[in-house]
Amino acid sequence: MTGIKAYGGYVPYYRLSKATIAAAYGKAGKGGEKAVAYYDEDSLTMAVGAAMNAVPLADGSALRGVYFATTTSPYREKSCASQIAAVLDCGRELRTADFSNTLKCGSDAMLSALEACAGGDMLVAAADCRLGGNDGTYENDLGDGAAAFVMGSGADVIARFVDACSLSMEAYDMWRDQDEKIVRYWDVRFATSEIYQPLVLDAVKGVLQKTGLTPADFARVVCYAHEERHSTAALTKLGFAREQIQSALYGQIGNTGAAAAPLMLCAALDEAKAGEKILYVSYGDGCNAMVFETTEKIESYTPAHTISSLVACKDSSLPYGKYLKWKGFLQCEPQRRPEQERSSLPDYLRGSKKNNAMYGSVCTECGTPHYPPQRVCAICQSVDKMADYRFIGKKAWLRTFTLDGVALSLDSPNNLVVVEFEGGGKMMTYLVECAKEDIRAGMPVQLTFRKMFHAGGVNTYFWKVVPCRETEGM
Amino acid sequence: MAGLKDKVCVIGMGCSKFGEFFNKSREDLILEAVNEALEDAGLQIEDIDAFWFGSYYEYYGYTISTVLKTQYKPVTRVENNCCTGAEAFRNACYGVTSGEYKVVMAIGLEKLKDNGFSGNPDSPAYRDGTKPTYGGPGGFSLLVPAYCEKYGVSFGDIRDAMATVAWKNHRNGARNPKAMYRKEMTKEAILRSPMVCEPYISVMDCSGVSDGCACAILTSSEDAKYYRPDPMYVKCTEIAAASGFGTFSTEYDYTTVKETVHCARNAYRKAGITDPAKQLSLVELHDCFTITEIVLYEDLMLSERGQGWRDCLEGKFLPEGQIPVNIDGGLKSFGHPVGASGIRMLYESWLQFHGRAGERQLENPTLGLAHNLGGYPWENISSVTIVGKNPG
Repeated sequence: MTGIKAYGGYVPYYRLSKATIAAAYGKAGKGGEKAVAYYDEDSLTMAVGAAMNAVPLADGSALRGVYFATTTSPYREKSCASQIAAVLDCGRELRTADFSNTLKCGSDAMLSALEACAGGDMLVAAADCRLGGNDGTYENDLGDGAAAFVMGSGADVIARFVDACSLSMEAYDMWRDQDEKIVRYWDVRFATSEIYQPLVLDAVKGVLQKTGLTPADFARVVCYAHEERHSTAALTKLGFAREQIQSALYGQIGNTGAAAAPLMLCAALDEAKAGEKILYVSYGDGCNAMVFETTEKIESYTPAHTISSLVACKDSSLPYGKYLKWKGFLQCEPQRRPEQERSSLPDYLRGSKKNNAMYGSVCTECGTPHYPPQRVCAICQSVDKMADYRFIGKKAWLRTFTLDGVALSLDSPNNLVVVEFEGGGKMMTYLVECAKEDIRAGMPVQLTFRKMFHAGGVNTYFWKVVPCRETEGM
Repeated sequence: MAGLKDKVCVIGMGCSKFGEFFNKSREDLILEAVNEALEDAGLQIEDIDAFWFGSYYEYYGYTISTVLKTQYKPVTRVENNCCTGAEAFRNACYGVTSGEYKVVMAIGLEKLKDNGFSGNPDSPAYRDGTKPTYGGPGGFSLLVPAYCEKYGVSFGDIRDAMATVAWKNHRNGARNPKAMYRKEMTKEAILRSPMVCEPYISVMDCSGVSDGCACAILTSSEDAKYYRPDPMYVKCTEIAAASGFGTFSTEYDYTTVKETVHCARNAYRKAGITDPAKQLSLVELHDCFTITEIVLYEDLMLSERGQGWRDCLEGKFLPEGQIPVNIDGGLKSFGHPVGASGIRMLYESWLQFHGRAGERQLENPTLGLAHNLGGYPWENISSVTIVGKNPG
């Protein structure tokens, strides 16, 4: 038996209300909002966020593969899957691959993982942060998010993979060329009638035929569409009832692209009981229709955060100007500080365990944890008596803090903080996604993997902290 | 006798005016300070046997020799963060005590206003980029909430004490013709200044950024009498460097600068000082930010722990108070041209000992202390230099 063993979603904290966008252009507001990645987040960091919700304590030592799926990789050349594997402390002996260029890349990766998982568990993390043109349809519609699944074989599968039907089709309905920042699309009616609907109908019919199932056999059907009404239309045409159709969450977090169907699948699993069949349809230059059946293991499975709790955890006050700035649409006045130097990549590589997996060291003589890792103990001065020590999962709180209005930042001031860890060790870093009036010494925080800066064509990723938020399922 | 006490004397000092000198070059600043010092000592540049040049941003020792046209004399460029000036002075002392050189010069220079940035640029370090970037205001403002929490000081009281530091130092600076800022500020205006690190550090809590140069000519105590009857005696030049405790230990509480405590303890012992607030005539301490000055009152043992803010409010550190602190105006009024500051601080003792401090003149000052701190409260280089009017 192969299938899904664990899952986790990730929804960034900020929401841009569609009324805010409309107001910026002097228009009447639409309802709803979309999730917006913070300026230090991208598809890689959101994928890490989802992966950490799927893999307890970010301990990926049992994983034999990490697949990353996105249409908005921060790099055109350079794998992100390998960095996700490094964050999860997977070691070197695993397969990593980046799936890209189509909105169904998440399910492509899942199918590949299912085929490969006999040798061990595989992580699939799908994330996207696509952009629509300003004052346009897809600026309104597209949001940011991520979802991750541990795919594997064995008795601990919570949703058994039953079968799938995959179709491919060369056609343009939505695309970006290699230099484009925003999505382009053809007339929606053409895309729906000539591409989307035939693909979805045929793929679903194909998998129903292969499995001998009928629409009535499914507890839930998850189906991607650029707009939710198109999936609803296709599914009702196939004979599914509206109550079977999983909400796309587009009104709350926007269409999260490659992460949209995966997030919907997570939401379906949040509510699933044992023995339920879920149809999972993803779309993009083809279609994958997959059938899962939940096992009794799902009854005892508790996600790190349910999708509804992630959707509910938000700050909806994001101004449009900040959104434009974070997404790189504006030409802002440079701060009067020296330009950011690129990171030394040899130094970054030497510190790979620290930088990616958040390792420090602990003195085996006096027991003091150190961050960053040291060879000489700062307390007892013992030399080379250190062991690896990982700070992930340790309780953490602010010792002291300031709001630094001088340092370079796309969201000045920077909340510069000293974080202390339960059991010892401390680090200076940034607290993000916290209103200034809520910051206080002693407040509990948790680590989050973020982009420190981009310089010289290199993203430097590292750990910041966010407030520990009370969400359902924590 | 081991140690430096009374073995080396200053026989001449010079200090440029400090300020935003868009119309002055490095050459102008160097010559302004050096010519004053030479004239003061009654010497020519060829009388100087060796130079120690302190600068944070100027890499090359020959920056000064090519300006001064010294004829192949040795120049050692030293850098020790904000203690750079003190470090040049310290090494110049050793140049004398080693017996290798008869007359030496310590010179500190920084030309910051040509860079066009707010605050000081970070030093170039090819690192992995994972350490957060923060400037002085960010790093030092971490002291404020920790200090308030530890000693139960209200936000209003600490802001009041910090504003008092700024008020005092600008009041002093207004009486110093060499200072960059020579305007008294009301506490109300200080408290109204815009925030840099909200809510703890405002513009008026920061020292300025300026250009400046200061220098000292030194010789042995035995030889000093040949140059002038009233040299200034070096009692000690101490440096303490971070141990990593503040960087790594959760026991460090962000209310003290441990390096300064160590440094001061050694300095007082070597100078024979047991009650600094009583024995010292003046203290020039590193007021890079107003909160730093408050914490340093305690670290330099001028105040009891947790009392620095209160002593400040009660006027203990005013020129007319028990122990004048930054009577020349401090970094607040001079700005902080990194390499020059340490020597500029000693220049105030020099003026005070010779009765040349004008409106700021103290009555019969005999012992002066200069303190610098380079880095951040939790990891830094601290320096304490003590000089005296008399031997013994």
